[in-house]
This record gives sequence, structure tokens and C-alpha cells, in this order.
Amino acid sequence: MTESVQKTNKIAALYPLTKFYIAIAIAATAVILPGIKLKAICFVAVNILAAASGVYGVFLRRVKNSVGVLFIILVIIQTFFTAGDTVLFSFWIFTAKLEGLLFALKLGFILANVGGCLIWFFAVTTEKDFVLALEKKGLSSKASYVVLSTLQMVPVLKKRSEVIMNAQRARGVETEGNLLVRAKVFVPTLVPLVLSAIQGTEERALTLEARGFSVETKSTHLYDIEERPVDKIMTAVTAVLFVLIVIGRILL
Amino acid sequence: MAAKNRGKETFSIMVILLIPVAIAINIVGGQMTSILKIPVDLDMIGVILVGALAGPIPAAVTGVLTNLINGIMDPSWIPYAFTSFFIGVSAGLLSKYNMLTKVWKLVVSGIIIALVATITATPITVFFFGGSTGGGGSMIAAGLMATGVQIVQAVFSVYIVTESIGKLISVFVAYFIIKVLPERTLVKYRFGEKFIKAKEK
Amino acid sequence: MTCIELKNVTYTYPLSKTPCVSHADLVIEKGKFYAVIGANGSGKTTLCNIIRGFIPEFYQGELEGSVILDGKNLNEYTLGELAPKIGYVFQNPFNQITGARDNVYEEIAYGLENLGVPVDTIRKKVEEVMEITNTVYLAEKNPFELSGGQQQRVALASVLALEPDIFVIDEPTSQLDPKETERVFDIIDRMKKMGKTIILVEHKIELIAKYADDVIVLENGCVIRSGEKHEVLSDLSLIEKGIDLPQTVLLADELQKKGILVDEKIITKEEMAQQLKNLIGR
Repeated sequence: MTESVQKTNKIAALYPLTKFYIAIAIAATAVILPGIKLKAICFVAVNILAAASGVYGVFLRRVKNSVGVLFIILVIIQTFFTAGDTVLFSFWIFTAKLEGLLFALKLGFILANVGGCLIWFFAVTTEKDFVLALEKKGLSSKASYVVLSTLQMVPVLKKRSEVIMNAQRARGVETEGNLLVRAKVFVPTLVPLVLSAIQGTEERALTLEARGFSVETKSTHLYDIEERPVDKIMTAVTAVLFVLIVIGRILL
Repeated sequence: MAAKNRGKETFSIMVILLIPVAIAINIVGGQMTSILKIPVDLDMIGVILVGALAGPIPAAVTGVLTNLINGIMDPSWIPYAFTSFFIGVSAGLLSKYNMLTKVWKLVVSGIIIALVATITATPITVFFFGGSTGGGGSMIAAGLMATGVQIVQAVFSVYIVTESIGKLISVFVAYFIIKVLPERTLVKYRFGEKFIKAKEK
Repeated sequence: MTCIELKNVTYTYPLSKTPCVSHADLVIEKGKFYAVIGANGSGKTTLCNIIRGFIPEFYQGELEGSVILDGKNLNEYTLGELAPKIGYVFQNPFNQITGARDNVYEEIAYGLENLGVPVDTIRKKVEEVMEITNTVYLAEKNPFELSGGQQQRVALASVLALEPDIFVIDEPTSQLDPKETERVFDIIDRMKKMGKTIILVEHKIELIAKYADDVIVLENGCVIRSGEKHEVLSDLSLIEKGIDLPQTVLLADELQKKGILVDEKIITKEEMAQQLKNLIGR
């Protein structure tokens, strides 16, 4: 996400864990709510939340590419290829059944809600902030190093793989054409990349040791984020609402 | 000196640094297969590599983190962290019992890892996603279902074929990488010496 | 004042049969700038790793003899304790970016954060070393997206921020262009003026002649020469051992042969200019 969104939008500016609790609470609500209609309404709520947080564009794109695709295939598979008695319509060898469709919609909306909540969370929270918040809750600094440096390493290696592939193209190696031709590009691109990355870890290990990576002292944080009163209020409100929903579900 | 064998601990600093590289290999490998339109998943090469060099636990961690980090963009990766966990454990155990040092052993290991992947991924696809994986595989599974095959069997059959090819290739690529790594790098990892011995023969 | 002393140090890497450094005796004095020279594979980097305490703890293998730092044997320190005492800068700039932080300012601060230094002090120190290393304008950039020379200066800054008294710097300019090389040497010179002890492995002999105090020459893992730079670098027999000498040394030798009596121990162009000026008598 862009930092500017986080600073200007009140929802996005919440503490990472507050946003995380909200995401989990909504996802869990979607799972326990009965009926397709309520689950669909819940998904509408997630969309409104994303829009209100100022990240609707990113949210919509990611939802379409992940749960959106799954939802469509899910509906096709369940409607046409599972057993059921109530035939909706049929053509050629395919017969659409109501039971399958209803099951697909129910599962599909659960997926859309859970996936949507997570997508919203990561759209409004930088990984850096999330990891820092977890570190403050007791995540080891080594674990947070692994996550943060992975996020740094991926774009670096991706860029290098593109450079190598382009170099191969320039040397006349084909990256288009039939499957075997394309597959042959894979190993010569990946291997040099991996080799230099793995061999670099030795010096990086010594670099980290020299920067006090293994020192047991409690570390300080130059970049810091803090929980504000509004976070405590939002967490409490979320918890109360969720408990009410659970009680309501049991009683009704 | 306090930690004479620090290089050989389960989570030595060398392993801590290997994990991000391996996750990046998984992610870049996965992206390359889609750029090159290769129809099998080659997104676990890093996990197998860590398993071979550093054992089951670091490999399992690599696997789970790969899925969680991919899950930031596409949450449908997250349930399969379970599968990656077991791919990592099995790759690590296979290395522990010297099953990654010869060609015939690599073939056996590739099939074992493919079986582990299939057995752990099928229930996730069936129960979490109702048989849908979002890829070309689901269409083939749907085709099988159209001929009257049950959903579990259909998904299982598709996975066993795609996973066998994918994991066999992945195991061989990982082995090839280890073969070209210099010995002084290999000795830094718990199981590295196995591959040095294998080289000498 | 002696700060590091090597006594009869011999080290063999694991899987290797011959020692990489053998019977090395060396005295490093506080506040001096030492240049280590020698052909590739003569054991320069290994010597650095020994002084830095990475050998044998990280590389394993067999270390004989003793390395004394501030009166205490090196193996009585942990790597963590050594970090604030001896700083190390490597050859490859990319591998010295930790990956833990996504901007240069925080990258330089990372070591201080790990040591638990209060935030206000961190800011002060970081800004100070950024000034020295000319990296202020890079503060907001992602360290992985910098050029090699910029990364090397960030690496120097990161180590400098920890305020070690001793710096071990291994071929910092081998992947840099002449302009960046000059900048790096300028930073090292400033560090020397701050009273730091510097041990630098380097091939660029003219720059050594200009900036260093003492020169240590290695051949096949043995210290074959060590002493004041004028004494060592004017030794023409080193040429046979495959070591480059400053152009002015060769020029002085040629002038001698032609009967022009210049001082034999001229190693920089400035010294040569002064000599010639004296000779001409102006």
C-alpha cells in the first residue's frame, strides 16, 4: 500500500493489530452467519469497508484475480458435476442442479468474505507495520528478519531473473515457441540466480553478526508505531459486536 | 568458544539467511513458470533445497512462509500452507536418510514428495474450495467429474499427475543447484556434507 | 600502543590440506592505517577474517597461535562483543545490505537498534556518519536499489555508526569505478583522522602510497614484509614476487640509473615533484 493512504485515511491509520482483529472478526462472522443472503450482505459490507478505507481499486483487482476466479469455477463444478435431484436446466451432457448451485454460492461467499477480509487487511497495512506490531507482541527479531528480508529479496531476484531472461533472448535463446523450448529457459535462468544468492548469504551472515544480529540485548525501534486510544476503542467495539453476533446465532 | 558448531544448528544464522533466499526462489520460480507458460507448478524448489541442505524443520518453515507471503496478494494460497509444511518435512527427512544423492533415489524422492503433496492438497481443494483450484487443473477435474467420477477422485487424479511431473522436475533442479554449489558453502549446512561425499564418488 | 597482536598464527580451512595463513606474526598499533597487499590467494582475506574473529568461529577449521586484542585473547570474546570493537567492510557491496530495512537511514541505524541504543542517540549518530560518508541524499532510498559505490558507502556508514576503534576493510573498491574509489578512500582518510585504526586490503598501490602509514606484504600465507610504507614500497625486489609498486618508485629507480640523484624512497607523485623542484633548485 502507499503510505499516503495510510496517513490520510482514518481506517487505514489504525494500528495493524486493530485492523487484523477487525478482519478476523468479519471473516468469522461470514462463516457463522446462516444462509446465502446474509453471507452476501456481509460481503457487501467488506466492499464498503474497503471503499471507506480508500483502497477499493487494489481491493477489487486482487479479489477478482484470486477468490473471483475460484468462485466462478466453484459454481461450475458444483452446479454441473455433483449429485442433486432438483434440475434447473440441462444442455448437451450437462445438467445444472439446484443443490450444487446453492452449495457453491454458500461456500463461494464464505471464501469471498474470508479472502476479501485478508485482502483488505493487507491493502491497508504495510507488511513492515504488521511485522513490527507482531514483534512487539513477542515475535522473535529473527523471525521478523526472515519475513522482512524475504519481502526485500523477492523483487531483487525477480528483477535479476528478468535481466537473465532478456540476456538469453539477446543471445538468441528462444523464450517463446513450443513447451520444450520454453522449459529449456527455466533452468539456465534460475540456477545462476540461486547460486549467487546462496553464496552471498555467507558474507551477509557475517555482516549481520557485525551489526549485532545475535546480541541478546532488547533492541530499540527507530521506526515505531503505537496503539492510540482509538485502537483500544475499536478493538473493544469489534469484540463486543462479534460476541453479540455469536450469541445471536446460537439463540436464533 | 561458546558455539563451536554454530554453523550446524537447526536455526544457525546461515539457515536464517537461506530461508528468505529459498522463499524468493519459490516465488520467482512460480512466476517464471507462468511467464514461460509451463503447465506444471515449480514453486517449491526452494523448499526442497532447504530440506536437502538444512533438514525438515527449516524446510517446513520455508514452505509455510512461502504460502503466507503469496497469500498477501492471493489469500487462496493460505490453506495450502499445510501442504507446503509437509512437502518441507518430507524433503528434509528424505535428505536425512540420504535419499537425495543419486538419480534413482531422486526419482523415488520426487514421487514420494508428489504423493505427500497430493494427499495433503486434495482435501483442501475439495473441502475448502469445493474442487476449484483456479487453474487449468480444475477444468480437467471438471471433465473427469462429467464422466461420472466423484469429486475427490477427480481432484486426486489431476493432482497425482501434475504433482508427479512438477515435483520430479523440482527435485532434479534442486539437486542440480546443490551439485554446482562450492564445497565451502555446502559445509555450512547440516546435511551439506552428504552432498560432498556424493560428489567424491 | 599495540591494539592487536598476532603470534605465530597458522590457519587451515576445513576440507583444505595446506594452511592459508602460516606462522604470521604481526603487531597492529592504535590509530595507524595499515595496507595489506599481496597476490590473489596470498591469504589477505583470511588474515582479515582471523583478526575480525570470524575464524575459526564461523569458518571452523584449525587455528594455531594466538590473536590478542586489547590484552585479551580473541577467542575469549563472543562475536557480539567484537561487533562494537572491530568493524568489517567486505568486498561485495550487495551482500552487506542486511535486507532488514527498506531505506538507507534505517539500514545504517540497524546495528545500533540491535544493540539497544536509545532512539535519540541513534538519530544523532546516523546523521553524523551519513555526513561523513556523503550518504545524506540517499536517506529515503531502498538500499537494494543503489549502485555498488553507493551501497559500499552505506556499508561503511553502517559500520562507522557502531563506532568501533578498529576497521578491517577488505578490497572495498574492487567493484567500483575510479570516482567512487576516490570517494571511499576519502572516507577512510577521514576515519583515520578520527583516530581509528585501519587495516585495509587493497590492490590500488598508488592510493596506498598516498593514504596508508604501514604496509604488510603477504605471499602464500606468510607475512614477508611489514613496516613503514616508504621502506616497504621502495623495495624493488617485491616486483619479482608479483607485487605492483608505485610508478614513482620505478621512475626514481630509472632516474638513479641515469645518474640523477633523487631520494630512493619516493612513493607518491607529490614527493617526486618536491624532489625534482629541489634538484632544479627553485
